[in-house]
Amino acid sequence: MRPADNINELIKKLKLKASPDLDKRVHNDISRALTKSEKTKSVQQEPNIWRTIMNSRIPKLAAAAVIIIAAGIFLYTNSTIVPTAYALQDTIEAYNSVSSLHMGITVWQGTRTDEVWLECDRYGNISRIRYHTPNSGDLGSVTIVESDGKSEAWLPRLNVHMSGYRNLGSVLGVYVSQVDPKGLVESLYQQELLGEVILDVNEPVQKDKPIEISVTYPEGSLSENWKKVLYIDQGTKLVKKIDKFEFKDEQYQHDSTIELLDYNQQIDPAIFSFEREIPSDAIVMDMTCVEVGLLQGDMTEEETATEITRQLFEALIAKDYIRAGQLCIVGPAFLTEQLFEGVNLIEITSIEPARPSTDPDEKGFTCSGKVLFKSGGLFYVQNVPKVEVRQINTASEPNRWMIVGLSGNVYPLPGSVTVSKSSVDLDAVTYDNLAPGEFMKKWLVLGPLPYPYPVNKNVHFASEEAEREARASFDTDSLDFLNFTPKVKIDNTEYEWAVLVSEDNMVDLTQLTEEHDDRKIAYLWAQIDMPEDRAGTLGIGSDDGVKVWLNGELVHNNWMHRIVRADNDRVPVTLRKGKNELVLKVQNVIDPWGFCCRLLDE
Amino acid sequence: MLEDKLLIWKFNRGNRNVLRGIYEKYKDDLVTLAAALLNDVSSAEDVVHDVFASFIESSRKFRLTGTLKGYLATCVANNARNKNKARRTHRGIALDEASPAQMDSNNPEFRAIFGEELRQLSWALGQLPYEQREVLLLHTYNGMKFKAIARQQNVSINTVQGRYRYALDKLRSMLNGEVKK
Repeated sequence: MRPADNINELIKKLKLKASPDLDKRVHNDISRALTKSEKTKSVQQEPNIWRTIMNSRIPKLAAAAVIIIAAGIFLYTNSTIVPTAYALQDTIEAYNSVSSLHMGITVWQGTRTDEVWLECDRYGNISRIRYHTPNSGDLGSVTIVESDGKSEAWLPRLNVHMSGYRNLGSVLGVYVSQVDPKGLVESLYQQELLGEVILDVNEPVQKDKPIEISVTYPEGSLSENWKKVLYIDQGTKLVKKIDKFEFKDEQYQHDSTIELLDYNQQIDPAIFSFEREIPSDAIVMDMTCVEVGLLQGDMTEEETATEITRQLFEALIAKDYIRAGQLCIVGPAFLTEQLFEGVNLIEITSIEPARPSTDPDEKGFTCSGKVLFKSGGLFYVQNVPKVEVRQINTASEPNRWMIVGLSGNVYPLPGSVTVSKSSVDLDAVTYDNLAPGEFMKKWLVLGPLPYPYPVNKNVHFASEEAEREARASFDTDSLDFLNFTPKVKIDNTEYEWAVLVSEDNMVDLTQLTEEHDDRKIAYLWAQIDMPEDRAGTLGIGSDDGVKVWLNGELVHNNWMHRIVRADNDRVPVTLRKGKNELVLKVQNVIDPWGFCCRLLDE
Repeated sequence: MLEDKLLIWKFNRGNRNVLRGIYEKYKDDLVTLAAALLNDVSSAEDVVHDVFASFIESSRKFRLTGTLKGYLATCVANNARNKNKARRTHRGIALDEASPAQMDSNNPEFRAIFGEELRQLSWALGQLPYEQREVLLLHTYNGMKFKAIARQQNVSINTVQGRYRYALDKLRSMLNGEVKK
């Protein structure tokens, strides 16, 4: 490499050491300043009036009397009436005595609680950490440990043990860097000095009640819609709980809670090691050489955030899961591939310029974009309204950025499905002597129907609560699957069937509604008229779960998250001579929604 | 960053012992920056000394709005620029108006400052106009944003970016030429 090719790297190599002479000069200056400061302090502590009074003999006794009375009043008021006012510095100083801490972090509207164990050095700074999240989407539970300079992650569902992480700030979607309570309080203090936050301290008279510090952000500032409440133990001055809220829909809505459960309790050293947990057959992956994120270089922060979003989309289009993993989860390619399974991006439609995140704890940017997306043979617009990008600090390269969160929803490209409410009867959807291999593209449809067990919209689709409600909604049916009626009543609401005709073999149910709420259900009804009894197989693809009734009998039931593919499931059936009533239930959990169905000659 | 804010907080509260920590943390980087700007280690150390002398006096008044490293680098750059101007007045020549001796990259002075490996770079930096050198070093060596440098130099961000680009082009050209010799 020629020197000119790498000028920036060369410049960074410039290194001089300050000479002992300079050290001496500066330290002498500091010593002089210290001495001067001490003198100034002691001079300031002597009130000039004292000398004035004492220079005169007559007022001496009077002055002494005044002082004695004043001291008496001070002692009295100090001990009985006016309590010492709390200040945030008390908490900062209290953290110097913290040697260990066990915390619970509740996110996703209270549906997921992570656990954290910290061990601190004698200055109260974190020296060892274990972060456990019971549910990190498709990855299952994730535990991360940083101890003795070594960082590891353990994913039991996948039986994968990863070691050698250089930076635990944000890996596998877990934000270790946000759990340092000492850092948080110090940061608040600084922000208050700079006028970046407004602190309101409520110190109750009752000693058993916590001091409440309400943290809001000035009007016009980025985080003006956020609020935090810190609960401080009056005795120890340590934080017991932190609630975080965002102002949405005219009110503060709960975002997350951190409960600081046990301070200074002995923690089993084994908690900071995976030795006892990892089975011998675990897949071990060394992450030492994995490149993390994107280097900022000469780009501005906004440009970097936009660029890393573009690079992620491009990596996903190219199915380059190594690069995609470097940019967003810092995991090996197979994990990234698993996370993005079924995300079949075709091209980037648009990427909007990044804007700063409003969340006060996320010192990053949010980017948004649209990409063309293909699923089950159909094209969609994948809207990605929130790509969260943050700077991560590695020891060697402080200007690296990575993606720490993604959310998106799918919009159909309209046109492949028509729905009509006129002439709704079974004759319109009757297949005469259905030929093997022919996809069924005309159905009666009932839907989209809401889940009978609604899920909080803000809850992550993979959370336990969401899965429980989705499963209950899938299991619950209140239709007559043998005798068709054009109108049905479900939970006191009347619904009408409609005729659906699809141009494509894959029936795109997202076109049933313009609403972009994923959690929906549809029933599809068709009639197959056979000239004679026939045994065969129904080839059914679905996104997501599917149930099948043939002539009123449940013949197939498969609850899962997946993308639609021809013949996802093969269901052996016997079609009888004459008319057969075939009903499908297709449930959507997230993103595209559709199905395909045909008779196979098997 | 947070550590810096804590240092400043303690500093503002009158804890001047914290100055020793700040000095120890940043002294080498600051001396390097000043030396690269002035091409003279002795003057560089004077600059760093002056910067800390002023900093010591600023207790309680000081408010950190960016990074402490950025603040100190800006102080060093300002002080170095003044020194450069003073030299120009004194000698009738500025460092960016290179003398024939300075045009020779084999001049032992360059080797003496940053060692043999960086001799060419040190020499080439010395050939850049002062403002360009300042932008390049503040951005590349100290990691300062162009916006912050524009504030410090009291020029537009476009000017700063232009200076940066010119500086890189010139360095590239000089270093390539040097290699071909």
